[in-house]
Amino acid sequence: MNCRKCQEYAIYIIERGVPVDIFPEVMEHLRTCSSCESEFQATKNLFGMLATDRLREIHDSCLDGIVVDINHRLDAQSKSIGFNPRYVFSLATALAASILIVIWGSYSTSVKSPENYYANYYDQLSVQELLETVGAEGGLKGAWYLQYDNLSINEFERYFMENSDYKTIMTALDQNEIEYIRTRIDKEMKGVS
Amino acid sequence: MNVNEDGNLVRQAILGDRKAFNAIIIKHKNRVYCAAMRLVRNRDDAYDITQDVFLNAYMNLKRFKGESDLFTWLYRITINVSLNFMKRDKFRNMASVSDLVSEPESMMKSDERLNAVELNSQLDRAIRELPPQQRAIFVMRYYDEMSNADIARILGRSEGAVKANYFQAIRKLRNSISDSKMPNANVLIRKEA
Repeated sequence: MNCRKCQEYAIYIIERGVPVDIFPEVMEHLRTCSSCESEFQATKNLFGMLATDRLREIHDSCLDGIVVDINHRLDAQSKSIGFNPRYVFSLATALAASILIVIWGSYSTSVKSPENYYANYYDQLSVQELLETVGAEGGLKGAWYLQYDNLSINEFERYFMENSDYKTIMTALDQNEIEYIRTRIDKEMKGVS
Repeated sequence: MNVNEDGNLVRQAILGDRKAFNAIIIKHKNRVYCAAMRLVRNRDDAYDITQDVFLNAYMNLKRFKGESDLFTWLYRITINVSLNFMKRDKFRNMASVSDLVSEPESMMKSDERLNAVELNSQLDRAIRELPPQQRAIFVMRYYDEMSNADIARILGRSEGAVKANYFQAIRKLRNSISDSKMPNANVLIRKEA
């Protein structure tokens, strides 16, 4: 059994409270791999903490007024939809102006600007953070996530099946991966501009 | 019940019967709120999201075909509204831990309560640091005990992608919890056990 499989089993075992000894292969791996053993303990600790999370059971009385609030909003919406012929001209002008602004805005930002493109592409990071992540030597791990999110599931499975030492992969990228990420980012940037 | 009862309520609500729609809200508001609360981990935001979910549902009632039960449909809307919210407000400061304290904990001894608050604060931070999709997948699987197949259907992703994201979410949570080295975490976990 490799480390990745062991960690998958570990989550299954801990999540469902299954005794680990019914999986002799996992037990054997944990006995011989200190890294997986410590990850196993950390996962156990995590699920122990999760079991104490108050959000497992929510008792909230703040919902008493929600029916009234929703009805107010529905009423407000239906009023705002009410049509008055006096406003036809202003409405048409505002609509045309909005359309122009939206078209111009999306053209000048999303399409032309690579920064915005990447903000959409990997929206966990601000543009600044993203650029720092991609550019900084220590941040290449972030760039790895950037392309990792874009892998198809087959690619993902293949990659991890071929690389049994999952932890090593996640903590240190090799030169090929770095090159791959750089090439891919360069390609994307050229494609956008 | 309930499919038939929900179906009748939906049909009446489509015809403009606000009482029928209010009955739908009353019946499902707690579960919708709980789902939103676990995702955004903030009471006010969860309240707003719950309102938005029902407004959204009201506007789209005609699209509810009755193929799934009504709550499943509302749950799907909740996930989408919450995901949009998280993407929009990802860098906003969230509520303090005290905002989340619920009644049972107020009856704990003070040191236990402190530990519980610290642990939950730790969990809140760790879970909020997850990217929106991973957070949604984690919440759906861990708290709402959904299968990978159901999560994949709701999010429009493959089962493999759900599995991989859940694995990643656990890894990230584990790392951020162990990075913080909570001194009293084990004590509380033992007590809870």
